Amino acid sequence: MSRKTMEELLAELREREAVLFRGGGEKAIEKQRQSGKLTARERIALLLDEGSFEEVDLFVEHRAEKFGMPEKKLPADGVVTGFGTIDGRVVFVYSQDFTVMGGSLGEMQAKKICKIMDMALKVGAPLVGINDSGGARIQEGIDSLSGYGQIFFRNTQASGIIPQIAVIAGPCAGGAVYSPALMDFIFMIEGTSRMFVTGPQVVKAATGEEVSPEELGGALTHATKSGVAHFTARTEEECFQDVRRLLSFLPANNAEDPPYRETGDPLERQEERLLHIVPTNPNKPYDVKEVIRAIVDHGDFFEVHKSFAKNIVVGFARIGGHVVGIVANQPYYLAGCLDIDSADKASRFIRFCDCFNIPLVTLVDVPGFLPGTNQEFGGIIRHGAKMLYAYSEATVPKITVILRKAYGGAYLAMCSRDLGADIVFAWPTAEIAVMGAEGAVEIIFRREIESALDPERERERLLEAYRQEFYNPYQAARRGYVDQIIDPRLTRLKIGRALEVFWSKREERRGKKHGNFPV
Amino acid sequence: MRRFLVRVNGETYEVEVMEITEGDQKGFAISEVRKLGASKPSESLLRVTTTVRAPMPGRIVAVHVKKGDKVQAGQVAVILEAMKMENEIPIEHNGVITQVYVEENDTVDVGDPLFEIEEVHS
Repeated sequence: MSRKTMEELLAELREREAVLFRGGGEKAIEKQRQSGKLTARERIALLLDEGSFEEVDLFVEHRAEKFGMPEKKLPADGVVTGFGTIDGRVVFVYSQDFTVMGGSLGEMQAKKICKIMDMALKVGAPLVGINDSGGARIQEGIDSLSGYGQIFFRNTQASGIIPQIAVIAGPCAGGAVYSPALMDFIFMIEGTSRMFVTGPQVVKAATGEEVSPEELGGALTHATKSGVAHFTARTEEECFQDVRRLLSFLPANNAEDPPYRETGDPLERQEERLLHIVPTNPNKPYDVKEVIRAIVDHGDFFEVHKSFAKNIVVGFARIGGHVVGIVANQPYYLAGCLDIDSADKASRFIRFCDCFNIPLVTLVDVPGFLPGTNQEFGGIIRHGAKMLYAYSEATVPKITVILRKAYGGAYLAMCSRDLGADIVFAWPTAEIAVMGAEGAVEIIFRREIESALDPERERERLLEAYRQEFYNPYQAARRGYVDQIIDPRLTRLKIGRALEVFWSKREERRGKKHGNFPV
Repeated sequence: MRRFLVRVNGETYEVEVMEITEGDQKGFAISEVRKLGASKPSESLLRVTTTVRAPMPGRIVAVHVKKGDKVQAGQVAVILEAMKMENEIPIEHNGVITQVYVEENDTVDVGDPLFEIEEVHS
C-alpha cells in the first residue's frame, strides 16, 4: 500500500477544514444575512484582535441516532469555539452558528461549550458567549437538556472568578436564556436579538395576550423594562466594539487587579463647572452624569444599564488611570429616590466590582426610598436590603462623596461610613439628616406647633432651626461620619489620592460557606 | 396624500393614505402598502401617539406646553413636585402636543396622564 505524502495529507486537511468553515452552506448563510445577521465566524473576527483566533474542536460531530439524525452532517455541531486576544489579553469565546440546524444545542455542542468554559476557568481568562440559537436540539432529547444543565453549572462555578459576558445575537429562548442570565453582562442588538423564556405563541396560548417577538423580548424591552440587558447596540459591529471596551476595564480574573492605564489626564485638573452643576437649592434637579464626566479621566464614562432604573447611574471609568466602579443617584429621574429596580441594579453592580477588585466610588444625592403601595407590595424591603448587603460585604476600596441630600435609610444604603466606607467626602452643599425638614418638624414639634399662638410662624421658625442644624455637612463631620468637607473642584484630586492610599487595603471577613444574600 | 411608516410585529410598512372628498363627505383610502422589512425606518415618518404619565405621586407646579405646540426632545413639558424635588418631565421625542391633562396645582398619582404627544420618530 502506498503511503500519502505530507503534502497530500495537508491538502486533505485543508479540504476538510474548508467544508466545515462553510457552516450550514451558502444558502443558509444568505438567509442569515437577509435577517440582518453576521455569521458565527464573522462575529469572532469582529470581537478578537486580528488573526488571534485559535479554534478548538472544529471536527466535533454529533452522535444522535434517532429521527434521521445519522444522515445529517452538522459542521462543528453548530458552534465555533476557541480562544484569542482582545487588546493583547486572552479571552475564550464560543459563537453559535445559526446556519447549522438553527444553532440548536445538542450533546456535542454543549460539550464543546463546556470544554471552552473549563479552559477559561483553568487559565483565569474572561469568557464571551455569542448566542444565536433556536434552542434545544429536540431530536437529541434529554442529552440536549443535560447540555444546558452542564453549562449552567459551569456558569455558576466560574461566577466571581472570571468575567463572563453574553452577546445575544439572534434568538435565545426557553432554558437557553439562563446561561446569559447567570453571566455578568448581557449585550443585545436592536432588531435581531430576542430573549424570552416562553415565546409569543406560548404566551398567546396561555394568557391570550398578543405580543410581537420584538415587544416581548427585543433589545429595547430588556434594556428598559426588565433590566435583563445591560447594553444594547444598533449594529453587531458596535456591539462587539462595546464588548472590547467593557473588557478594557476588567481584570482577567478575581486574583488580578483591574488594568491600570496611563491616561494622561492630571489628577490636579479642576473643573469650574463643578461649582454650578449641583444647584444649592435641594429642590432643583440636575444630571449627575455631568458631575461624573467632570470627575473621571477625559470624561470617559462607560455606563452600564443606561436605560434601566435611571434613578441610579452605574458604570466604569478611570480616575488617575485606576479603574473605578461608579454608583450615583440621579436626581433627574424619580428625584433620585431608591426603589426596587434601582436597588437591584446597583447591588448587582456593586457585587460585580467587589468580585473583581474594582474600587467603588459612590456619589450621593438621595431624598429617600420611593413611597407607594407598589413599592411596598413589590418588596422594596427585601430589594432595598440588597444595597445594604452588597456595600457591607464589599472589601474593595470604598470612597463616598455626598453631593447634596443624604436622608435616612437611603443615606445609609449609599455606602455610608457605617457600611464600611473607607473615606467619606462631603461637598459644602451636603445635608445629612434622618429626614427632610418638613416631615421632621411635624414629628418632633407637633405639640409645640399646635399650642403656639401662631402655629404657622412657629412651624417656620422650627423649620429654619432644623435646617440650620442638619442642612449642612458639619453636624456629620463633628461626629466623624464625614472625614473631609471639600471644594467640589477638588473632587477628582481627592478621590484619586484616596484610591492610591486605599489601593493596598486588606479587609478580612469571617470565613463562611457563603452569606445569605437577600435575593 | 400622506405617507406613514407603520410597524407591525417588528416589521415596517410604508403606507400611503389618500384623502377622498365627495360632496361634503370626507374620507381616507389607503392607496399603497409597501413592506420595508424588519430594518429600522430610514425616513422620519414614523408617528406614534404617546401618553406621558406621572412617574411619582406629587403636585404639578408648572405646565410649559399647550395643545398644538410643536415640541423638541429635551424640552421640559411639566414640572412635578414630588419627594421635595421639582422633577422635570421632559419631551422624549420631537413632535406635537395633542392633549394636556393637567394644570398648575393639580395633585397627581403615579400613572395619571400628564399630556399626549404625537411623536415623529426618525
